[in-house]
Amino acid sequence: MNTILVILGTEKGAFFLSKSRNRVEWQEKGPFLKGWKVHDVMVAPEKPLRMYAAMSHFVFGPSIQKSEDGGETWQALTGVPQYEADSGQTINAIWTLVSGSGEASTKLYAGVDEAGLFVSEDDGNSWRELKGLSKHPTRAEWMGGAGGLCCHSVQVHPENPDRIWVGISAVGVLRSDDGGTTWQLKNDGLEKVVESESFEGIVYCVHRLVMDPRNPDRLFQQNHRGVFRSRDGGDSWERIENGLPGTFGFPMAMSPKNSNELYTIPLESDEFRIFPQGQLTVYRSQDGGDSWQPLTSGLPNNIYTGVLRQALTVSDEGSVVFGTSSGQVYFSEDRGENWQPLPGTYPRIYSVTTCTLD
Amino acid sequence: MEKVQVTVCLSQLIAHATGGKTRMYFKAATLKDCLGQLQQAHPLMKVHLFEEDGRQRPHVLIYYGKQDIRWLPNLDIPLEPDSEITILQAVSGG
Repeated sequence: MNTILVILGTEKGAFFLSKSRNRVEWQEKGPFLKGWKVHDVMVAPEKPLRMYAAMSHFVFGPSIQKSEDGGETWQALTGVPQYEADSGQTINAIWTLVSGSGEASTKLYAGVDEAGLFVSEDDGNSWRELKGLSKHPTRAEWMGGAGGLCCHSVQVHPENPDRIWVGISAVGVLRSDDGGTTWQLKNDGLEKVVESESFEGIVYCVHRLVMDPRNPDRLFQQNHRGVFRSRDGGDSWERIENGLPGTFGFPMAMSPKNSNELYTIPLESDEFRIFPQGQLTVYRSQDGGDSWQPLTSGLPNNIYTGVLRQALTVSDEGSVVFGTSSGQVYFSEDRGENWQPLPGTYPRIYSVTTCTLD
Repeated sequence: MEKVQVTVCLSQLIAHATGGKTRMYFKAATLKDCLGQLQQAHPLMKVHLFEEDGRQRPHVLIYYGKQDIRWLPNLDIPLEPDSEITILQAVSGG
């Protein structure tokens, strides 16, 4: 019996919602990792009972915990990414966890705040700083956004594990073609978040970066300054905003099964950061970003909140689910045509992850 | 310097770093010795109590008895037998 599992990473722990395919009711579990900010939960490829939680606490710093039983119990990894003592840098949070690909599929990558990328080749027991990124020649001019100076998006090419993209607020997109040793800025065609002739190549505030797993030359991003697509692995970017009510927002998600199906949830503006007119609206593209259509059936029209960058996802089966910064969760089994609220009100939702259990 | 038994108590929030224990016993001569043993036995405690450069995290409180160790000139002070070291989070923010 297939069960869909929705994992919420929130400001005060992780929560699990599950539903069997032939049932109507959702089961709630949690909080797990109580008291910790859970920024992201990664489900191991091909091993859905194995999970890793990317965490932080404002007093006690970063942590990564692992579960081998679908989230019922968690153990701290023995290693946590750390900058060198004399670097002047510190890890405030583990923002995201991503696995490698191909022959490097056992690698784990951790995107962190202060911005950097670490890799583990021993299941998280030890971590190596990819210094070509965190000591990039432009590093001295990097500045964070409202959420910090965070490496929030990590994408690994599915066939070429040496090609990695990261999205850093408010720096932009960088790409490595040598497994993370060296990094090139990839922001041509984007609009700077600060109008200035200085900061050459940086200050392009990517909010969420996604990759088409079937055609990894195609990348998409919700940016502080708009919605963009790349057809050449990030070498250049073009605006794709036809049908959107504005340019500002945080999350973006792509269907794992359909390269043309994308979702975003715009906000009114960077000054107000709420749903336009209080109408929660998901925008879907069915043509790879050429146009967008609003979807509102089942969504409230008096909600003045937002959806954070990692809080919108599409499951392997095509279900779409997102959580708001005020703790509501909405679920669609028909590609966003109709939405249902899921039970419960949760702390501020940072991330939503799905997986299917047999 | 004579080693004495001391108790270390810590917040449940970081008990994942100690295998679930919130109360531990060490035989140590000085405060520095005790905190060193704590980190050696449970390396994640170093991450949770100190930043990369070795400074105590700003919202971590470590008390030796009733003394906040942040205000001690150094940690080389001899420990009293059966004394207690308590690790807490500061009541910070509003």
